[in-house]
Amino acid sequence: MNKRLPFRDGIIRLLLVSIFCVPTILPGAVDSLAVDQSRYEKQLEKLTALDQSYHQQNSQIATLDVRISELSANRKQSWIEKRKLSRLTAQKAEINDDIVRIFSEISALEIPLNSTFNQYYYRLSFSIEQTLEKYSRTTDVRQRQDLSRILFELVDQRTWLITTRRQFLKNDQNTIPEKENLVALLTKYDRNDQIKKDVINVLNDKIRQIDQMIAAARSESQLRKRLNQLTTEMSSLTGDVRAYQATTANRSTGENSDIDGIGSWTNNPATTFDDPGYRNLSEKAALPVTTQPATAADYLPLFQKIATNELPLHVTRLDSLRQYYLKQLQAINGNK
Amino acid sequence: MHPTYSRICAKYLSIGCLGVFLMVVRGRAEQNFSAYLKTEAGLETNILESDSASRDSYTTPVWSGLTYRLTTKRLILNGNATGGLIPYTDYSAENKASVALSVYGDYTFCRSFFATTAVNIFNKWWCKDSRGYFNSDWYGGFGFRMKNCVPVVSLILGQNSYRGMRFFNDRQTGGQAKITFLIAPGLTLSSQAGYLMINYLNRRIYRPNYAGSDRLPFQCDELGYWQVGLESRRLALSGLNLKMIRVRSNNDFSEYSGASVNYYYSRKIGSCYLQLIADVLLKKYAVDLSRYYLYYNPDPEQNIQNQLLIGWEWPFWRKLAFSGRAAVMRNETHFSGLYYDKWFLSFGLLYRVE
Repeated sequence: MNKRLPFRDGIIRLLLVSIFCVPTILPGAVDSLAVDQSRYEKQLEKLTALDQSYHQQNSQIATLDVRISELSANRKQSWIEKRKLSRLTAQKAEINDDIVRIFSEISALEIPLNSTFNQYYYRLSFSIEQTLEKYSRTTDVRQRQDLSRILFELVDQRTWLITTRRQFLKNDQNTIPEKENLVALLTKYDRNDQIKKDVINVLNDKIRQIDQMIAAARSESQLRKRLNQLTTEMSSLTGDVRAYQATTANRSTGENSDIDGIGSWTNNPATTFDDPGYRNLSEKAALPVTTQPATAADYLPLFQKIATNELPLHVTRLDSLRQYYLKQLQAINGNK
Repeated sequence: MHPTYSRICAKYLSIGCLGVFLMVVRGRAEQNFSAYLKTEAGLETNILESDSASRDSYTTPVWSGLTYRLTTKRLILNGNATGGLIPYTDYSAENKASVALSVYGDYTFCRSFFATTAVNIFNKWWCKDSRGYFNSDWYGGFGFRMKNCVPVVSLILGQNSYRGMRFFNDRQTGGQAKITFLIAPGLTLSSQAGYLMINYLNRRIYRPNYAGSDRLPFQCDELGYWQVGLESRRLALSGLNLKMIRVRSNNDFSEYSGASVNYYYSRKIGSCYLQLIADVLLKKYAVDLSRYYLYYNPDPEQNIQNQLLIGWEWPFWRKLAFSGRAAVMRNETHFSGLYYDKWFLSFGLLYRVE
């Protein structure tokens, strides 16, 4: 899943809401946020690319160093070896020049990126504060619902922004406040019960959505499980053996092996596309945001790009996100 | 198994178990369990799979299954065990039991390189008879995960043992290469090709009218196959596989070419799960076997070639569900001289824990 997509969606939703539903709030701020986000993403992307090439060049230098030291170790070098040595040294010098260039580009980029970050962070924080203030004054239920959703988007954006900061900031630069969650924000306005009620409703909606997503992600596992169960049970039905030539190629190698590892007929297209590399159990998957009423079947397309083998991991991530919202819900209820 | 191998296997198994235990204890692993227990009542026709002595019987099978899954940062480990007891009320001599075990592991070394291994074991035996069948396979290989395709190369070792019919026992060695493409979200295309050498340890080749059959060599087959398959993972899970098979053997009567089609479909309609599997296998032997009246049973060749299997499950209350199975099978094997049909129908109650 593309992590940035929900935030882009969030910006688009913010724009739509600001145009159609809440024309009186945050005029101009939403546009600025979108501009800031776009600029920040572009700069971050460029920095990441530069970082990659910097590491590549460094590894090339290391390889060349090994070869050069091997050649230098030989006291009686032949003409060809001397020639190789001079060529390798020249190559190393070229790469070194390149590294210096990349390093200076990285250094030059850090300053504007830092300033974009600060600006973006400040605007987000300001928008959150503004939304909360507006929220506490609004009496219209529909507007309050829209505002609570906007609040979620803004908080999510700021969380994402904070989690990406380590990619370019040094530890001693720019003190950034710790991650704030909704509960922390609400404590500032804890006298207004209506805000809490609305946020509780939004949280409940989100938990319901995640429940449906988990159901959708698990549906494939359920279907495979039952298919494999039928195959296994039927293989004992016949008086004789399992098929020989017929199933030799169909026997499970388990690789798509379904979530439950039986394999059998469904041995076919097990895939691990869009594999994120190492599986990171602690990572919280970005929640695809939708405010429309949906069923588990509506969420199926979200999981079709994910390999069968990876689906349990995504269920785990969604479940951890669900737990996070549940904890927030409990905390808000506790503050009541 | 040789004692040295047993010790080595036990050592690696204990190290593996310890590793899994440590991962679980340190909280770096996700675990999932599920299990089911099912009891059924049904009717099966032609329980002896014979074209001459057809016998029908009511049956009350009991099934249970357990699955386990472990997921860590780099490792996926699946285990499954299914066991069943199939008693026949009208002909208890045919009562049988079966156990299927499978373990699958996938270990990611780096971003795109992974190792995979699988062990499948299937054992079936007749409760009041000396007949029985045991099959085990091991797969081990490596693969790469690329953007839109995943190639995997693996080695295969396998064996089939027949209690009371030792001359059918065989050992299999080979390999297969497989590549899978994501052609659209939820739609995958795969192709695989493989080669197996099958050695029959106690089965001498057959020569008509040859007096000194004890001096004939043991049978050795070479099996090559190519398979192409398409799987759709949308609201329903469905797939179609087409396979071409070529068997060469030092036994003239075992050589054949074959083509098989396999289709599977599984979906949830309302709260009811429905599954369908259809198989068709066509073979053409190099020699017209029917002329020689070769009759072997059981035989590796004696398999279900054409079948339609349907299963359903309707959870009606908490973990309880009604379930049912229906099957129509047709065997048309030349080698055994048997042409039989059979069908099966059952209904039952299932308890599932997930």
